[in-house]
Amino acid sequence: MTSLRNRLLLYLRRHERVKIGVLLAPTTFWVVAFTLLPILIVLYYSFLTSGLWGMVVHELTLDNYREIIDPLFFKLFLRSFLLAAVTVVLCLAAGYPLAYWIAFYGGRYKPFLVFLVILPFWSSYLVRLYAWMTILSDHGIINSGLQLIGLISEPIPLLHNEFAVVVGLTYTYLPMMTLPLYASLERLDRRLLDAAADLGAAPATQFARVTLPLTRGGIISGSVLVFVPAIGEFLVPDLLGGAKVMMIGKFITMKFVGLRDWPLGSAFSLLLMVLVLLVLVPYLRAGGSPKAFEEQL
Amino acid sequence: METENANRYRDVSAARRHARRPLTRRRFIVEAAALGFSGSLYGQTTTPAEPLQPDSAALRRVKREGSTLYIYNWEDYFHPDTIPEFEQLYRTKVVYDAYPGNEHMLAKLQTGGVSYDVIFPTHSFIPILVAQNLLSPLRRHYLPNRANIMPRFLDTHFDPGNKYSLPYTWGMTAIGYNSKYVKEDPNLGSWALIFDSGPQRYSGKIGFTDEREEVIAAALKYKGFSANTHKESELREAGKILVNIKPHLKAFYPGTDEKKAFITEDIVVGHSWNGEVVKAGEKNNAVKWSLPKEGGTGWYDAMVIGRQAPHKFTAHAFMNFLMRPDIAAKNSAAVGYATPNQTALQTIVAPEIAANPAVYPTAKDMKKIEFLATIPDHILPVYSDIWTRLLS
Amino acid sequence: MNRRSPPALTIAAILVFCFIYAPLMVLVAYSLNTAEYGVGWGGFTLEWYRRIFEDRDIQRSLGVSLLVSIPTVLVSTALGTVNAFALYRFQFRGKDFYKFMLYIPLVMPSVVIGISQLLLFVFIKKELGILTIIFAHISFTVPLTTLVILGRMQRIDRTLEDAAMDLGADEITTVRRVTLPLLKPGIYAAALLAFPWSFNDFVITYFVAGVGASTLPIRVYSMIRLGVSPMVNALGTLIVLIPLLLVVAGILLERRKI
Repeated sequence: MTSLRNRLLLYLRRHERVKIGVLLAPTTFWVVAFTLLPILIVLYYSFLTSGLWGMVVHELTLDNYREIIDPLFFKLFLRSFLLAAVTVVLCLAAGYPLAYWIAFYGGRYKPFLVFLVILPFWSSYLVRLYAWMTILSDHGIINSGLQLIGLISEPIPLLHNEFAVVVGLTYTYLPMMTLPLYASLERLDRRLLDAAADLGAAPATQFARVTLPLTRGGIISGSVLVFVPAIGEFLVPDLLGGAKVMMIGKFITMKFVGLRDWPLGSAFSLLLMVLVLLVLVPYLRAGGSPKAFEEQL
Repeated sequence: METENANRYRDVSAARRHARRPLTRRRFIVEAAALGFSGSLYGQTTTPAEPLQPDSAALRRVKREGSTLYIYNWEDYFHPDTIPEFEQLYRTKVVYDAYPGNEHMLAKLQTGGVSYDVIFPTHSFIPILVAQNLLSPLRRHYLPNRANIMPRFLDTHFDPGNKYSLPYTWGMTAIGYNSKYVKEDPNLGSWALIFDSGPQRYSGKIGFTDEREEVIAAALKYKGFSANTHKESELREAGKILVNIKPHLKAFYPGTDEKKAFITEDIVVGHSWNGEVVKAGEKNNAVKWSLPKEGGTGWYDAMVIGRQAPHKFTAHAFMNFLMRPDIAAKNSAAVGYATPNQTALQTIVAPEIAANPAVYPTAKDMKKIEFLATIPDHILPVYSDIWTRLLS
Repeated sequence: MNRRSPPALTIAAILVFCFIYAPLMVLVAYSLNTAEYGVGWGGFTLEWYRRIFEDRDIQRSLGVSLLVSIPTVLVSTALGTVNAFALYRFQFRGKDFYKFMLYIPLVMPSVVIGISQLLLFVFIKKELGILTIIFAHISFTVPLTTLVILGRMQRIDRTLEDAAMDLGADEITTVRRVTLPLLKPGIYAAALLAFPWSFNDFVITYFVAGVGASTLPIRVYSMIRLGVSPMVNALGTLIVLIPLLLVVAGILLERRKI
């Protein structure tokens, strides 16, 4: 028994590669079987022919890609892109002051405040979006509050439109923006600001010439981490968007579940995947990583 | 492309071919009359065919099949006591998974990886399920309570001879409105209430169901076309009308979601199933039903058994149980839709419900209702295209 | 440098915190409200909570959710530990690509992941059910557990391991007696963080759920849409609060000094 174990150890010591192989085997299997292979299958389906009533005909075709070029779908992609972009801007507008305040004035409560930012992120966002539905509805607290103080007589439509979708997206992905911003603000060398102040720069100039450029990395990280999931979002447009605001993620889901057009749905999700990678790969190449996940801890 | 697809599916079953026969309004009325629908009440009394307690042989068979029956039904589509009662009676367990629409149900079944015992598709989907070989034939001798069903709902051309299905509930699709907001509107009583008055008077407060065929049928009816038209030009016109009304819609409500929107007055007019309007009216009595003069669509939801159902005997027992007059009446009252169960209607259903034209349309209203046919293959791509354009 | 926050900044930060927590407050408030359909305030009640404990569909869904999440967490924590170990200790070709593949399920829109998982199961003709949900969940929780444990690993003092080796312990003994105990808080934290991810997932589950496999989020989704009963507020409050307590526990464990 012991000798077997020793022999094994000796063997592994001599063959570093085998050791790595053994350690990586389970996950390699997992990555190949549950990430790579599924993507290849989606690729395969995107070239199949859609039959009637959701049947899939195993005949190769380019029809699905031809259909995607329709200006109708271009508009769909454009709308998703714009909504995601607006979300990035709003997350930045809300996340930057928050991160700045925590990083510069949080004092010993810093870890706790950061924790407060990410805490809701770990709870069911389905339920939190539902809470937004009740807040924004015609009888929600905003409308009834405004009616109570007599500002409006009729409820203003806050739910089931672009506004609601942007609120939902911003709410959902705000932590993904705040954390990288916070990290870069934390790393910022305060002496540079002091030096700028000593040289007579006004606070606004300090911010524009020192803080902002030095936290560019955080801004880019946060923007990518917000934009990528936001553009493919399904639940937010589904729950808050109503009939009017279709986004690509919801559309793909409907192609799959509602219209059962798997080949076309696959082509769409592949296109979305490519779009996401176009944003993501340069970012990862430049040394970024999904920091939000690492820095949550 | 269209014909290519059509050719690819030449080998559909007899049931499918049958369904492809266009069901025109005229033919429907003739059929309805032939089936005795236009009479004062819905046919003759029959006696319940089965004692209430299952015999020990049946219990043994249920037990042998395993402990759990899996059913796949629309959300909220039973009386709350129905399942517990069946479980107690047959000493088994029932798992009730819900779907929000026919398309969703079909999608799950088509993955090939789900084997439900009892499923509740709308009539026009039965031929599709049959053609795709997703159903298992019924054994008639396990279903004695079938005798309670109105002849009108048996042997329909969606399932000749009821080889695969039996009806569960039936209803119509037209307009629900809130009488608090819809006042002195000359368009009340017409689809123009939605399509003409909608943009000016009720913008942002209009709801639609989420079923493709139903939504397109509403626009077809508004234009005075048949809900089952095969003319592409008419369908395209309907599509255009829908695209125009879309900016004024609140949402497309899947399943039974629209009920809530009516109750909370999130919507004041809506293309809806009658049961949702009836149930909403019980909570908010300003919510009213309107079958417009251009007519609405009719449907029935059926009970079928999945091809690979692991518990076929129990499934039959459950279907039979649902056709027991008292159970049928209870379910019907709970969901707001009419029962096709003649015995239940004549002996148990409360008179005020039986007399409610929003649940049981009068003979005159019945003439305005056109049952939806299964969309024929050659026109299906047009439907898909219209729907995609509407949603995207 | 000025140590006091400009008032405008403080107000902005507080407003953003309100934005983050307002929905949760509203949820809790409505869950205690007697008024149906969330119209106005009707009075205080615990009735909705009582009803949850009587609702057998909710209980069954909770059972399904636990049946999914517990195995998911166990497997993904084990795999994450092995991964983190390999990624931290060894340099090998393709490491970057490997990391990238691990990140994909974290950064891709859930819809894409859900579809690819569904097509996988259709392709290999695997019957949809609890097992398929577990597989899909593991595929997106492994990256998370790997990252968490990797983070912990980078904080381990390697000299402790070297010391053990110097004292004659072989590699297996060192891993078992030194590395793993040091990693333990990280492993627990990974498990406690993976749990809410799996437990709360809706989109991917929505695609791969099969017969009798309605998890709690699937149930909640249909309750939200039907939403006639305020019970969903109470259920939502519980669903939000209970995993949060777990996360708090996880963070505290992770933060504890070695």
